[in-house]
Amino acid sequence: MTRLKCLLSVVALATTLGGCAVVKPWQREDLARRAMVSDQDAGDARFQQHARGAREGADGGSGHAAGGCGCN
Amino acid sequence: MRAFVAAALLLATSLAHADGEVSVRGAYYKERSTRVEQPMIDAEFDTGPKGHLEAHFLVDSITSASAATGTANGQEFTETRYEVGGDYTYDLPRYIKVGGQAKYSTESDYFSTWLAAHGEIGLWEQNTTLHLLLGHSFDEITNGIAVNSGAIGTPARDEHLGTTLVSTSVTQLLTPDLVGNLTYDFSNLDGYQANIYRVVRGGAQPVPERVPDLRRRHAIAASLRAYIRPSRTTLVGAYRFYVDDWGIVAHTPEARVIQNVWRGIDLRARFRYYTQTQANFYQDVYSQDQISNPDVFVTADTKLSAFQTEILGGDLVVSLGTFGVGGTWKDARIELNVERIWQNNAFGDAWVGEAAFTVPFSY
Repeated sequence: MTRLKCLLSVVALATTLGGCAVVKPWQREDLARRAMVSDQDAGDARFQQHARGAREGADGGSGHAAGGCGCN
Repeated sequence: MRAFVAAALLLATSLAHADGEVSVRGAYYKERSTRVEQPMIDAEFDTGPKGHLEAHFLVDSITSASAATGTANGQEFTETRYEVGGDYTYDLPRYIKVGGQAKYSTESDYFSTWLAAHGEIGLWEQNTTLHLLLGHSFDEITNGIAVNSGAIGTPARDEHLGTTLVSTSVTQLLTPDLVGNLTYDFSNLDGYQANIYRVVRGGAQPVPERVPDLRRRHAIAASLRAYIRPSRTTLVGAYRFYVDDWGIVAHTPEARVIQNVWRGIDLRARFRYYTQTQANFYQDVYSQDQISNPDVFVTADTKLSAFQTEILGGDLVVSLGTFGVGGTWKDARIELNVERIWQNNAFGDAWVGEAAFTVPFSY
């Protein structure tokens, strides 16, 4: 539970700090570039997560479902 | 008639702003005793001015001589898995998005259904984006086909596994060329988590592996993505910390470079390092007493041992427009990817190759 509180505090802190910095919409040309949004297509990311999940004890951190197959 | 024409124009106008993309990809994975071939198709498109739909279908063909696939004494065996999934997102006022996703996977001995709901809100002129996902999978596992075919001599079993995922993330624009992301995933697994074919040796006779029915996994991942305009280079640095109540602690730093070398041509390089401790019940060798005691957890799962992995990969992405192709196909792109994986465990080293063809479109 202590670990969970710590993680939530980090997220809350990052969110609070976010209110201080403002990048205006007209300054986001570079942020909108494909590589800056995601440099992996959905299929590539899904395959990579699937392959690593079948070979490593750790999983998660991508916000996507893991497992779901008999490849463990 | 005027109303009809006005409605048609309005519809045409809204459709003209709709975008989509279809991608066909083939992935190949090869290591010492296992190879995987996975053709897949992904599609995403706008469904009106506020809706967005993503869908995929894939075939996962795994050929292995490992006993963990239900084969008899090193015989090669091919298992085919089919997966279909979709994700729908709808835009609400005030930079809020809500949606749901579903996925179904089926193979001869494993069936999985995944359902999830997700929401997102943009704050401070969308400098900050908060995302929350809550999902659950319902898995059924059986060794009935292998038993009935005579491939294995153990009794038939039918097991269940439920997995709940809570994922929250914050994405923060830091400067006009720097963006950060922090993601926390919590997974609660409740049910059968061993491999239904794998056995532990060392005693008078092999016994099915025994692992806990409960597992709580925490993963926190942070990334920074920067664009260097003079050289048209994108740099990505990422790190993931993982811990679970089976005793595994893992660290995963990763670096990626995406270099635009010419109009429509990108080169990518990637290095990923992974290290983990072993599960607290994992041993290379178990005693006869441990193996024969049903209250003691025993496993032969390499993923639960301590090891390190290094991945070095490269991509080439080329748009057809580079070769003078125009019209609809101008932005279509070809992607080729090769990766080398070094694993200092029983799996051994591996090669990965991918090829993809993607066509964006407007309608």
